[in-house]
Amino acid sequence: MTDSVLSVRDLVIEFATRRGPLRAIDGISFDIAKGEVLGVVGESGAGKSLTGTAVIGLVEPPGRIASGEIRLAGRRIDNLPRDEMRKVRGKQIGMIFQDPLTSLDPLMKIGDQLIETIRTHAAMTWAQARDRAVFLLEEVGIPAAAERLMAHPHEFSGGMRQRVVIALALAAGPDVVVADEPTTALDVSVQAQIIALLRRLTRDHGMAVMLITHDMGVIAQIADRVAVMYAGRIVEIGPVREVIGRPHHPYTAGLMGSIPSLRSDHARLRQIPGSMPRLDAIPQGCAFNPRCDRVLDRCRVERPQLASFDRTAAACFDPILGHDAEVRA
Amino acid sequence: MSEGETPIAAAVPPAEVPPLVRVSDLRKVFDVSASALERMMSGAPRRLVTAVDHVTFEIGRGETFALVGESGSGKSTVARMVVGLLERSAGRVTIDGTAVDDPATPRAERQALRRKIQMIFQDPYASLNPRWTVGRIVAEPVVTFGVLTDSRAIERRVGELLALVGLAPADRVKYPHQFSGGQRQRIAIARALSAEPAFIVCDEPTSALDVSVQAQILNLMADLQDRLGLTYLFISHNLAVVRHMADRIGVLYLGRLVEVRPARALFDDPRHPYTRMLIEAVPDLEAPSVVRDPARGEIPNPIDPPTGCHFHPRCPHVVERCRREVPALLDGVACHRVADGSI
Amino acid sequence: MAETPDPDAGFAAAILRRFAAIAESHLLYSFTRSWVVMIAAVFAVTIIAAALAAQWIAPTNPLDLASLDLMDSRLPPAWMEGGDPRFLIGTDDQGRDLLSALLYGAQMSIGISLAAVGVAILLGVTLGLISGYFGGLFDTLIMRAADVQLTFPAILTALLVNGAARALLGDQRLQGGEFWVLVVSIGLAFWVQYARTVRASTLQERHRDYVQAARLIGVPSWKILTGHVLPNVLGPVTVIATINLALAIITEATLSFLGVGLPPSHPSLGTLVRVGNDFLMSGEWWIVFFPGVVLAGLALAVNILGDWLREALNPKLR
Repeated sequence: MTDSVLSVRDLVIEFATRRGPLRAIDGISFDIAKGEVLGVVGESGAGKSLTGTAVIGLVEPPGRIASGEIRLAGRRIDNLPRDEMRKVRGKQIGMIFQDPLTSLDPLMKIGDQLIETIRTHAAMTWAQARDRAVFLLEEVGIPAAAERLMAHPHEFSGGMRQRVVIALALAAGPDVVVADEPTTALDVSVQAQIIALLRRLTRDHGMAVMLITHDMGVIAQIADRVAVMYAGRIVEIGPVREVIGRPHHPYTAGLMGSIPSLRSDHARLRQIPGSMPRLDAIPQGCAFNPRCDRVLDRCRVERPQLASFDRTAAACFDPILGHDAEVRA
Repeated sequence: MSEGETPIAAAVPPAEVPPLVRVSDLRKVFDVSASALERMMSGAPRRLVTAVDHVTFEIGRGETFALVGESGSGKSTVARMVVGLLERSAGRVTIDGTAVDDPATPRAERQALRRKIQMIFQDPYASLNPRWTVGRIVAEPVVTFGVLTDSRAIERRVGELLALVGLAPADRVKYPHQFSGGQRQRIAIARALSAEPAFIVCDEPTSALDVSVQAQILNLMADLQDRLGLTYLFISHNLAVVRHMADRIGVLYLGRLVEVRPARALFDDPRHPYTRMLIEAVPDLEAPSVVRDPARGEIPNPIDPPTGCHFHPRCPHVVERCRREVPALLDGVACHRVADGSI
Repeated sequence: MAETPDPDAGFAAAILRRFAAIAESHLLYSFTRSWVVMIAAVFAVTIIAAALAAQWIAPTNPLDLASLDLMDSRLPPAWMEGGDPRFLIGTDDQGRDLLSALLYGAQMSIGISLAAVGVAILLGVTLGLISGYFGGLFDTLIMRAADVQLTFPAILTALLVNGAARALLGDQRLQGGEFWVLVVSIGLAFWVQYARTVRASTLQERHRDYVQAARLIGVPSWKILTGHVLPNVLGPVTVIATINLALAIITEATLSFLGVGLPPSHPSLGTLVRVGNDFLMSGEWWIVFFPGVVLAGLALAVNILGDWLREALNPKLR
């Protein structure tokens, strides 16, 4: 992973409470290479959004990065002063959130927002910046881009708004884009359009993308690799085909089995008993052990580390291997 | 559920058994205009939105009928009108042949009818009163309908219901905030079942839940249907969930049914162009690398819907007639082009 | 909720539960974090407890006119020259022991204020619930009335009600009823805040699914209001009530000071200040000073407690 643009090493994020610190992210590491899309998937409470927040340097008290490091193109960014980090964000890291309205100023014309962002990060005249804004809007598939510069966010539909946000994220030509549930608020038909757009943009622009979502379907459509998170840890990471087709970790397998499919007729869905533990009640050993149907005595005391199986890595003492990997009939 | 065996037979209720639920020509018009005073000052006209337009369907006993649609399709509006939480602008809803809110129906009969209908809501954080114990929440229908009056008997019934949905009878003394989202939805289901209804309207019952928990709840609902012979009206935007749960499916677009067909048939051979587009748009885990043609356009604003067939601006098969005429539902499909055999 | 068999359905039980929850919650934690709040609490509790126990701890009974001796009038506090050890903080112009008068007066003021806040809550919460839940013409009328009332200062409303009561009943028949006139006039001055807050919360709650679920099975509206909506809108009411208590104490004092409150024979903090005011220029400062300090201190302490309660209960500020 020498060509990795974003590199996260042993990241630990804690929340201060009056009963002592709670560990929300417990030692995760991953890399994203240039032109690569890493999907970060998990259920609510897994810590996937918090990981994204840490990468863009917006972890707010009572949360704090307790240890570990985040490097962007080799430079450490987790300990930068606020002002420095603000420059990095926007110029080197683009952001796309679930609700487009959080990223757009409702009172400002979208052209002005784009032009301002472009000029903050690049030495351009107003006219040059305007041309670039039109180019970006065309790039994200907004028809009649030049006229739409004069429109306010509320004049756009939900899908078009998310396109504008994507254009904003791309404005400064970032190395990394962090996209947190970018399609969750959208209808299925619009979601498909945004997925296709994101896929094309990553290919054309060669950025590294960290795509955070709860939707395995979206991951399957865009991501190259996927990291599955559970209770603040990465339980499995590897190429998306491998992880979906032959999951090694029982949680991944259970997750895949519990997704209803458009194709097959199962009378019952596979289900994982119980639910994600709360931060103040994460089980000892493997955090998944109380819900796991392959649990060993060892899982209850010792925490498994990520170990490689074929092309993926899973944190499990008794991973699903070879013939018993057929989880989807 | 008879899914997988004889979906067609299950889909069309046998003629001799009348359907449990009959919804005909259901219509809802919302007045979204500014207040009378503001209208007078600005001279703006009244603005009406037809959220649901001539929706007709039947649900057989023990059947799961699903309404699927994207935002603005009116699926939740239909659900709320069917259970009587929302007034209908026009149309009729009958359960067992009796109109639910017909003033001609005797009061006692209406109350008895009400007992047969229950609803499960989308957000289990909002559907349980945070200040009530689980026991009191689950017992509310029992107490309201006077099914049981002895407090011992009620307590026992609540315990049974909690056990039925996979919780402990002792949980009845706890409060909703002590449970996870999935457990809360179980409580909501126990409550819905407490007065022994025949028909349950499920409004997006799992869309606020994580997938692994969603699987638990969907399995539970299917088990309960088998055991208690329940009839479901299942509302969802999630096609895969609908595919999994439903015997028959109605697809809504901007308040109108565009296709109503047995589940298997609808997914194997979707006929309405909108249904096709919708199924195409669902990300596929099994064949992710297939580059597909993404859907065109977005759902228009329901305040100002397109003329004729609402779908015509996004339809790849549009002809002049589609812009003028509203297509009728023929053989379960409301499309001019399907009707004249050209697609 | 009479036929609901659940044992913890009762309101008293609900309040007890509430306290139990407070004991182990954020509330207690934030309480011990601020010494200002601690001091305010100690001060308020001391004054209120002493006032409530006036009958037992006061050296004399200031209402018993027979025990007064005019020879004792206007004695300075015991530690000053000319002071009398029987009267710790001196006497007033009629020879009453000021400490006893102060204790009985504080009791009267606190009693009136609590009752007035009770009236305001009862009226405001009821109107707010009905307005918010049913809406329509009633809602419009109530809320316009509230708007109009808000343009008057509370003291003016109280003066108006007070004057109206006196005009209607006449001073003779009012004899002994001054307490209730004060309670009602202060109560009427304060209901608007409760009505507005409760109405706003009710508007939110009535659309929540648990209310819909109750409507669905035909639970009658009054039962939905009392059983479902009311317990969920009471949170902000506690906060307003605390802050209002301080305002009510001051309003009562102002009314009494202006002479439209209680007669001087029935001391409240306000009447004591009014009486003492006459002697301020002649050097008998203690007659006004001690009631004034207690009045200001009590109002301030209760207000601080109310502010703290608002912050501690507000999830956004946590």
